[in-house]
Amino acid sequence: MGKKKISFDKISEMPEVAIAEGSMMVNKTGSWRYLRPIYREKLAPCRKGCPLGTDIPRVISLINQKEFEQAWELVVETNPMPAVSGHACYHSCENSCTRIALDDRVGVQALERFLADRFSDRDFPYQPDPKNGKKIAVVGAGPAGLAAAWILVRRGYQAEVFEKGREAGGMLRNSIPGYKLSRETLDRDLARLESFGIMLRLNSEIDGKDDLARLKGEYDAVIVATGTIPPEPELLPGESPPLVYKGLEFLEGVNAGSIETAGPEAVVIGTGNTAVDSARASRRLGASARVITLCGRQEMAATNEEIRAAEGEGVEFLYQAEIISARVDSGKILIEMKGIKTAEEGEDPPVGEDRFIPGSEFTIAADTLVEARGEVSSLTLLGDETADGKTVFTSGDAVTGPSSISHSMKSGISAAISAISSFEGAQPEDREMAAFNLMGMNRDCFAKAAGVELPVRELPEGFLDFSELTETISEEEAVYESSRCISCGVCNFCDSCMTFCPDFCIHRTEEGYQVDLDYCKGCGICSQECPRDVIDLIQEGS
Amino acid sequence: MISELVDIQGSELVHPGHLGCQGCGASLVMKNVLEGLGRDAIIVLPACCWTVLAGPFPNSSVDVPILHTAFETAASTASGVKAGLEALGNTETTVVPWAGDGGTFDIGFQALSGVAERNDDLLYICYDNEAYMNTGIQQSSATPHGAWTTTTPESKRGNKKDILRILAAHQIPYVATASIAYPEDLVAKVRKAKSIKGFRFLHVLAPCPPGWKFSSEMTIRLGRMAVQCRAFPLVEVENGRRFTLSPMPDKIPVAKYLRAQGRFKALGRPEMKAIQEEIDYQWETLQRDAARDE
Amino acid sequence: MNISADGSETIVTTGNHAVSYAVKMARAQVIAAYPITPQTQVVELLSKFCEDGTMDARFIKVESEHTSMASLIGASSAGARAFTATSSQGLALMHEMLHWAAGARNPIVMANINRALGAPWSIWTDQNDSLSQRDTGWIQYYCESNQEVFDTVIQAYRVAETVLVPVMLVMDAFVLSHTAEPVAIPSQETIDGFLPPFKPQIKLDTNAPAAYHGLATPDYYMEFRKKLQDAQDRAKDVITRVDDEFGETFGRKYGQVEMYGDENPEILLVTSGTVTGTSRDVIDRLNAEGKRLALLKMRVFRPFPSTQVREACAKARKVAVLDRNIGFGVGGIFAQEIRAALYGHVDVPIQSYIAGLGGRDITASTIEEVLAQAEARDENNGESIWVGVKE
Repeated sequence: MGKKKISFDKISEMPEVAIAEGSMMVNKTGSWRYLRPIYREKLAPCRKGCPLGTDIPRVISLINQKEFEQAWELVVETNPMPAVSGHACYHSCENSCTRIALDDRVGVQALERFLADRFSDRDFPYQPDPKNGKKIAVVGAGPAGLAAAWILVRRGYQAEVFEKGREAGGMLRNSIPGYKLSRETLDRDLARLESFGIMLRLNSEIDGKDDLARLKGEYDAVIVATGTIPPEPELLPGESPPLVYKGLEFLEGVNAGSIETAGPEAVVIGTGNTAVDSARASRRLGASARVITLCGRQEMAATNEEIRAAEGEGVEFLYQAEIISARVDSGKILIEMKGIKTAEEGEDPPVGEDRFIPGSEFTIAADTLVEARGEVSSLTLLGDETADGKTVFTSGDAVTGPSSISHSMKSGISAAISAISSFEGAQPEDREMAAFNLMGMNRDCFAKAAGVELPVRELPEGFLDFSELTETISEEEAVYESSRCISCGVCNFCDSCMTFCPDFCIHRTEEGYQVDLDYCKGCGICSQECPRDVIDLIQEGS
Repeated sequence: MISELVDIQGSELVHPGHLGCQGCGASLVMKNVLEGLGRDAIIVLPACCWTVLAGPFPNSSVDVPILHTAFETAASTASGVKAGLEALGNTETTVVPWAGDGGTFDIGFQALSGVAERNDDLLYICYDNEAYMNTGIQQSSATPHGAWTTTTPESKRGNKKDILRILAAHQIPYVATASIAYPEDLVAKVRKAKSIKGFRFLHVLAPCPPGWKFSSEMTIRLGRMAVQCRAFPLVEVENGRRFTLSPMPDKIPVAKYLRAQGRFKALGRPEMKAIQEEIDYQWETLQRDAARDE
Repeated sequence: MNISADGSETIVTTGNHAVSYAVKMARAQVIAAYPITPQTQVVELLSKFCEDGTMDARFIKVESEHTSMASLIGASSAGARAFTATSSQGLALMHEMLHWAAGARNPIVMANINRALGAPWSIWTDQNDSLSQRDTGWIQYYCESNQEVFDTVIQAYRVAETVLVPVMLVMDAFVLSHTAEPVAIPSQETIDGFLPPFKPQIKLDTNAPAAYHGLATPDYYMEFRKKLQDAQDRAKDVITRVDDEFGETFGRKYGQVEMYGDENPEILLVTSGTVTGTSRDVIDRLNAEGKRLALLKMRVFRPFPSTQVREACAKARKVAVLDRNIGFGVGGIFAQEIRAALYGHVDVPIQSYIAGLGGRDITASTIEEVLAQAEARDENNGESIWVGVKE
């Protein structure tokens, strides 16, 4: 059909009957419009929850298209340690997943792990910027320090990381047990970082004002990322390993192979994942393990997953147990305890003698005691100095106290950016994105579908060792799981807008959808139908 | 389905610039049907909203031949077109009487019954916006019970004519319902109908913003809710006997559907309850009919 | 059966069947018809031809006359040669679609058996049904004999397909439809030579998609109506040409009108349909007795043959129009139209007589009565005189 404009001035030009050969496209119905659709991406809850700001919906979309390499490249754009994250991150992304309201979270971490393991041998797809001649010292090769060094190298700075230990990794190596994060996994991420250009100085403790002054002299800036140290033990002051361990000391030794036993009986005091991991590690060393805590189960800092896993491995939890006294007798630690009453609902917990459950005294004996009462930040290096924000920067758990791998990495990156700003001026901020709005979704599009679970390694009944408990999902499972992702606020080319436009004026191009404003009547169907709050309606003329 | 990926690319055979209202459901019926039929089709178009959407002389908004005709003659004119084509040796071109509910359920009912009884080789599309929308929202026999129209300003009494069962009773090879909210289902049914000889009838729900009194962005949502609440279930009947239910989403209460439309504003709880009972009865009957053939 | 030298075969057959044979030999391709007395035999024989393969046509057994005309509009738009027959109530039911077919310029041919319209019911002949359609844009022929019926079907297709205007040929109920007369049926070959296959200029085509007969705004509608009017104007010459050619080919021609009898008559009696045949006899007889009478047979009513009518009326001293119809509120329809054609051109008194409605017989006596009244009357007051009413 001709798209030309047809009109007649003379009867002799007209056909014998009313034959319409022209096209209605001459009628530009865009003039009817008072609302206009625009495509405006929103910040997905998962991305908002990720300290590194990884573009999770897009990564998952690429997996769904089987563009696994592109997906991996997008991950490492923001995350320098994809395998570590994929195996051991606390996945706050999943905790805010929109899909939880429908059936189950999308297994973002499982997908990240799938990519990381698939491309474990791959170097970063980007090259460092040309060297600018500046040298930065980073103290501590934990996640914060390594992430800081990664950014620095990327931006053309020379980064040298001083690590007091024999190997890099910090908490990753020392405290996270092998059954969560295998050494091989950690080493692969480290190898890539070294290959990228990060210089590691192992067995190099930087301690005290003199060392710091030397670094300040030799380097253009110093980033302190020394992490945390455990507090002094409270229960049996003066006692030391192998009887009493403080904080991560126990796990570090187990991970390094220097602790080979926890006795027949181990006791752990603490409420967090370190306490639980210490108990689980004890089990793997052949000991029985009990965790004693003042709080109830609900108040435990450790995650539910961890507690359940520990229980499954035979760890016994003694909640609401106050320690009355403790002493060492013939190489055994004897701990006397009393049960604490649960507070009535809405009432303050009882105090004084009243707080004990009558007749609940009991004593336990242990060969090993681990006090995992939490770590504290360790800016001892600075002494009386503070980070001056000009040449000395601090980052990671050293600043915040214990946090998580991703938060540490983020902190390291921020410190590095601060350092870079001190040389190059203020760095551009990330673009503000409007938050994803659940009400902007079209929820009719989604039917219930079970989420993927990490496969668990087959082990004989009751067998425990330090190898990783879970396995990576298969490609088929990854593609399936990626299809569950709603892609909140990020267009994934589902074509709903184009399909339902009653004026056929939405067109799909490589760059995205285009609305032909010559014809769009502003009915709003595209915005309403978009399953993921990508299309907004604005006043025409604004 | 897990994701909502829609596989319909959209037909090149319909153009923007047509005169449909903002959010017009009827325009999407044409797009999807032509997607299923392709170029080798002739639309026979009586007086209805699409007469206007098609555009005035000398322009058309559709890239297949359209034969405009009088209100009640979609089926009859199409019957002649088909006979004429066959007389000239063309048995391939699909002839499509394209009528609204008025031209199908009411003034065109005689002609419809005639071609159905004769089993004329036509693929009839009735796009149903449940009233005489083109002339200003007067009631038709397709208007559901309780709806406001300009000729039923209180509310319409009497259920929607059950055109599916009426045509099933004519024992035509294929009659089916479809909704623009489920385009893959609609296009699949068009393709299936196209492959069958004899009289085939597709009843497609086309929600109408001005007529049903809802805001224009809700057209698809209402097309979906109509199916969800089973006011408009998706079903196929072959040869008048074999009932097949198409895959449908979970059932929702009809009150949700009714409350989303201004035309049902006058209905109170007792009336909605009565409507729910009627819908439940019809739905159970359909399920029984579908089960009978397994 | 007689086969003559030109290959034609003479049979004795009814008017209805004459239509059927003609339609078969005209090679109509789509027939859609609904039975109504007294048309039924037309379609029954055509059904038989279609079923036994004598005719290669599709017969749609529609469920009403409205549907039959709608179907034919569809068939004709697809490019097929289309035919139907009806009468009275059926024609009236088609009315909407008659307007449509003419506006759509579909060259459909229809045989209408003139039958009176209810209420009250009547199955016998008069012309109100066809004349009620005079403004629809259709060409109208009024036939006197079964031979003429047969011949007119063939001519009608030629005319229709040339000017793209639908044509109805009209004959009296029972008097012609059910009365057997000799009809010479030419050979198929000669007919094919005279009437080639339909080559539509306007046709639905999926390779050149367009929309037909969509909304024409005030900007354009008038031009399309003018085109139809112009086509009717052009039809006058075409009708004559086709008729002349028919005469050369088949030895019979009819003209748009026919003047019979005295060349300068005292009274010119105007008739149409079978009454014409009876009138010929009466006029012969009365002229032999010394009267000066002539007969003007109106064959073509639309387009109205003004020129020929003026010519004929100018030769007479008085004109008496015999209408087997009534235009309520005005008078005999042929009479009105003749008056309108003559006004300002020919000044001759016109008397309007109404007779034979609802099949009341118009006998030779009736015609003599009319002629006697016409002779006695001189006034020209424009009123129609009803003949034979019980008073």
